[in-house]
This record gives sequence, C-alpha cells and structure tokens, in this order.
Amino acid sequence: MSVEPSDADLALKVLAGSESASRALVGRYASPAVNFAFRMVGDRGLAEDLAQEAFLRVFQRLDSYDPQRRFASWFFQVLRNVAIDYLRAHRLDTTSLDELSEAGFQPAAEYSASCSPEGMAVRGEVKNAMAAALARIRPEYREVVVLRYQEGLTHPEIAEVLGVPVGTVKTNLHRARKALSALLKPFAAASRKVEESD
Amino acid sequence: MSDQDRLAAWLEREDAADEESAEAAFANAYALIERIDARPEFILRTATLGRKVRLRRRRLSRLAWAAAAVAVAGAMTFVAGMAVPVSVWVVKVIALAISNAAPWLVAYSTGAISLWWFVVRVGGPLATAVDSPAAASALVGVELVGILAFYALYRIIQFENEGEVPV
Repeated sequence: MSVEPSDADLALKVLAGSESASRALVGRYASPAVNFAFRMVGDRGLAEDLAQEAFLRVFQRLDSYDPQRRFASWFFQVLRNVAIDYLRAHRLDTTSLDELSEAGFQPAAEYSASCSPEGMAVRGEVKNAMAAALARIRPEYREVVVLRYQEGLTHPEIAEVLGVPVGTVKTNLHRARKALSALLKPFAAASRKVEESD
Repeated sequence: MSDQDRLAAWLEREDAADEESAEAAFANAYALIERIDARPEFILRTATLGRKVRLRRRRLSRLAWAAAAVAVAGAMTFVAGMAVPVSVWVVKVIALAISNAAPWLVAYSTGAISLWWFVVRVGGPLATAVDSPAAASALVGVELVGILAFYALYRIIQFENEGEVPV
C-alpha cells in the first residue's frame, strides 16, 4: 500500500527539480483552483488563466514556503490575490452587477439574465439557480462560501487565507447564507408553483 | 431527496434561525453545485510552465550568487589596492616617529642610568655602615629620641593654644 506524499513533501521535491512532483502538485490543486477562480470570475477560460497564474507565482516563490504551514492555505491565499487583482483591474464587482448589465456587460452564460429564477424553476435547475445566486452575492461573501463548502477549509484556515479574524469569517459565512437564501426564495416559490401545477 | 427538497430544507432551517442545522442543510444544498474538473492538458501545461519558472528562478539565483561573488572579489581587490598606499604611509609615519623619538629615548635612558648609578654609590656605603647590630641600635635610639622630641613640641603647641601652659 503506497502512502500519498504530503503537499510539503511534494513542494520539497519540486524545489529539488522533480518533474513528477510538479505534475502531482498541480494535479492535486488544479480542480480546486479552477473551481475557486471560476466562482470568482464566472468564466472557465479566465478561471484557468488565473489558476495558472497562481500556480506560477507559487512555483516562483516556493523557496519561501514554510512546510509547517498548510500548503492549501498558502496556495489559496495566492490564488485569491490573483483573482482579487483581476477583479479590481477589470472592476468586476458583483455588488454592481446590475449596473454592469445596464452598461452592456454580459456575464458568463451560466449567470446570464435568461437564467431567471422562474425560468430555472420551470426547468427544475436547482444547481444552476444555486450557482447563479452564488455569482450574485458580494465577492467577500462568495469567497468564504467557496473556501468553506467547496474546498473544505476550516474557519481558521479561511481566516489565514483572507488575512482576517476568524470572527469575520463566521460573520461573512452567516451573511452569505442569508443573502443566498434571499436570492433563492423566489426560485423555491416558483418551483413549488410549477410542481403544484403539474 | 430531490434537489428541490434539499433546497427547501435549507431555506426552512435558515428561516428557523437554527444556525447549526441551517449550516448543515446549506452544505447539503451547496453540494448540488457542479464542480469543474481541470482538464489534463491544463495540468500538464501548468506543471511544465511551473517547472520552467523554477528552472529559470534557479538559474537566476545562481547568476545572482555568481554576480555577488564577483562583486565581492572586485570590492576586495579595490580595497586591497587602496590599502597598499595607505599601509606605506602608515609605515613612513611610524618610522619617522621612531627616528624622532630615538634621541629623546637615549637621553632619558642615560639620565635614568646616571641617577641609578648615584643611588648605588651613595646607598652602598650607608647600608654597609648600618649593617651591624650596634650601628642599628644607635640609629633606632636616635630615631626614638627624635620622635619623642617631636611629640613634646606638639604637646607644648597644643597647651599654648588652649591658654594653659604647664608649669
């Protein structure tokens, strides 16, 4: 039975110049990275670019990685900075998504205006409604939700990634859930109506 | 449990303001969101690029060390080049100081030797004269008489100051 090498072991092997360790480390974090970036920017191609940029930054600064620290926290910190830099540079702030839509900005297909709660309810697309609602909440709420429920990070780890107190993480998670429930209630009501009419 | 049921269960618990069960129900509903799997070509491309970045970084680091070593060697050569004229100047100053100090040193040494010679010449006979029991006793007696005389003089002065001269 072979034991999976830890992230720290892989990082040390990458530092020593191992090609297989590079592939293993990227393979381990590629999907979480693309998922996180996708939830932040809403475009797969762009998410891959941002994830790749994060990996390159991590590889570049691997000398400064402390093996005592969890690699995932460090990696997501870098990735989050890359995503935030991109959002700032392109002013893709979901708090003003309506304004952007009015100005002609077209979000990714998954979140387009055609995906109204009623429309999705008719199609019974709960997962799409959830994703669309997630895309509409504030980025600081979205990132904690993704890190907690998608990547499985603990509250202290999220606090480390975001550089905020644990209390702030818990508050943002609570507010994020409230915001999501407010956005999804019309969808749930419409779903019920569709079910009743059937 | 259908997707709609999972969503409804979470929304109900959220309305009930039961934090713990609402969180668990939300996690259950959130799991519905589709996850994206990274494409194998993305992994390969990123790993290759990452490795190139590391190699470039290592090469740059080695170059930086080599440049630093060259810079240190250059600096040391420069300092050594500056140090040679400085050391020549220091040697000249020291030589001049020594050459100027030598006559004084000789003069003072001569004076000291002369004084020593005088002390030896005078002290020798004195020591020989005292170097017998009789002479030593006489000397101690004279010393004692002298001390007593000084003490008597001191007492007289003391009484005079107090206005009571003893009869």
